[in-house]
Amino acid sequence: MSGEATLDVLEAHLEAAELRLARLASHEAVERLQRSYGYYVDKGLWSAAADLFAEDGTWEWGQSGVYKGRERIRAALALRGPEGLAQGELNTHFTCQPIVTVAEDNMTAKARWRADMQLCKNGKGSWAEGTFENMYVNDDGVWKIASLHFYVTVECDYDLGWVVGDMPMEGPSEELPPDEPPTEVYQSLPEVYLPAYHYPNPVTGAQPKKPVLPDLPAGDDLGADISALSERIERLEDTRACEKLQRAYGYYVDKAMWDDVADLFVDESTLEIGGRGVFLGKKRVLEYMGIGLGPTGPQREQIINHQQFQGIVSVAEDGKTARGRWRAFVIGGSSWAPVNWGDCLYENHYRKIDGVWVMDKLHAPFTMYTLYSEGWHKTTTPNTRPESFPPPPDLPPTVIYLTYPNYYCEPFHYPNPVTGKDAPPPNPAAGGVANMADFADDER
Amino acid sequence: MSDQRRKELQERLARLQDEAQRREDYLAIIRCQRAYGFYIDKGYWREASNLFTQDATYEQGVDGVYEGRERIHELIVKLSGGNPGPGLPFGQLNEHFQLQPVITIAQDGASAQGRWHALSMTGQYGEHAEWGEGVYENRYRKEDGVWKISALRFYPNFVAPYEGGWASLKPVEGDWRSPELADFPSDRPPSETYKPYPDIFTPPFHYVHPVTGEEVKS
Repeated sequence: MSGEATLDVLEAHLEAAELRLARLASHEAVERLQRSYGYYVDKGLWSAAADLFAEDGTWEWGQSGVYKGRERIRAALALRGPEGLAQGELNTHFTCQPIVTVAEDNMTAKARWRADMQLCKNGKGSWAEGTFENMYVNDDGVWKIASLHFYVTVECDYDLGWVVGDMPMEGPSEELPPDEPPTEVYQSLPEVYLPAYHYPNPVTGAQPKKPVLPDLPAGDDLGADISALSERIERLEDTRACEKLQRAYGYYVDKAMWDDVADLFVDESTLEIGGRGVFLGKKRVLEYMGIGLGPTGPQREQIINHQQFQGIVSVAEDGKTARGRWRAFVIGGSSWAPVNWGDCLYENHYRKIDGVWVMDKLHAPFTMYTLYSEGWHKTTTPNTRPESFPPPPDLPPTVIYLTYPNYYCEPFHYPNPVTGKDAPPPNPAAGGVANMADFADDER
Repeated sequence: MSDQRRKELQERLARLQDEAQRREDYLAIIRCQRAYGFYIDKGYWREASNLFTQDATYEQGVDGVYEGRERIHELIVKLSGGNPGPGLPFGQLNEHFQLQPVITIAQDGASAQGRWHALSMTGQYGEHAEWGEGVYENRYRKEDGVWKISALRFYPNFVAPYEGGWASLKPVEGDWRSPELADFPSDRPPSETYKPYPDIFTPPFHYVHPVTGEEVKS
């Protein structure tokens, strides 16, 4: 290869690396934008929230109808009250679980998010939860919200809780009618609705295109450095892909999309949730979900939100496997089953097969489950067991433990990020670890 | 000509290596704070305090500023019920969700700031249960290639009893310092005072508005 031809190849690789890094930076910018929206509306900073939109941006909240343009959005947000909140009002929007998809040309992006809301208006407290499907635009290097569409899943009276204390969504404002009626007509709990996913199933769906590049020249120092950079970029993309896999799992479970859940697994995968034992392979995962948890698709008068928060993803140096510690914040219940809060941990394994990250081992020890009507100081579930759940497991539980009010700590898959040392096992003298021998007869 | 072009490509590579470093830093800072939360949840106080720099500060509510890693360790233990751990006593729930990070890395890549949203579920079985909400505005510093917390500033907005929730809270009157710290005075007075919910307080933003580039007044 001539000198110039070699340089052409090097340049093509740098070009590709530059775009990949720009798209990763855009991913961060979209996160910043939407999380800022949450922080601003929390405190009634309507004007700052409206300024996050593109000039011709749109905003639609539940059945509000569509407001078009930044100034109309500013006015629509202000329907909630004057700028800044009045004493006693609460408008907290925990803005979480992003699945961000930046377009290949880095000019637009889409994202699914969820918000958990703690609200108080006129002295009445409520919880609410719902899903965003938003679009973003790269306006000359500055990312802006092009469209915000929030789908309300539930709003409920604080004292009564969901299913029992569901509150209907408000319709379009008469004081400030929207520019267009609601794009989708639906109702929140006790009715159910499935906001369309902007992305295909991360495992079985179409995969992002990778640029086809000529091989880097062997024995070229610059080529070797570029290759090392590409590896680093791939590890960053791997981390984001594992986050997406786990968050997608949560969004599918929320809506009882069992086929999509099972499609995140492969035949060699395992699943172990609570104390129900180990299920082997994709088919058994589907049985676990479908037989154990009910029919496919969202069901009236039921909510089974499994919100995936706080992920720590560690990709192995070779990029072939990864681990993830996560928590699930569970909002569960129906008119025929207990209404509860759940708090659950994950220590999961992921594996990359032919360039696609899949769920290798899902391991979800429960921390605490309680009835909404009681609270965790009064009632909790000590743990589930294989015989408490319709489909029997393939293998017994890998670990026997009791949940809150007892103490169990699933080992951390990562060393302390600062000291680099593994955390020791818990000290029994702390007093929370149940002695399982005391329960031996009970368990068998 | 070829030499000149190679040199330009080398410079471009160096710029991209810096870019990759920033993306890695972003994830590393988020990892550090999320790890902090998972340690606190399970009573791993030493692992949590080891995430701080030697000269770090910790300030919560109007409790004042505590300086230095050892003081911070002692503070965390006191604020969490006093059990030395690692672990929690029977019946204690200490879940502190670390959510919604907005991370801003300094131009030189050596320090950063982060805003986080905290949701907490705490309590003692048979006695009490609470929901909590608040905002962190923290600082981070990179030492020998490792990101650490150099200043933790937590602005609790409320800790509300499970029965009645936040709607049942009354405005705080006078001193609302944490009672657990009565015998453990801070090294410096609070850097600012405020009243939590049901009063309205917006913790100051460390970052400018992402679109207008202007400061957002709290």
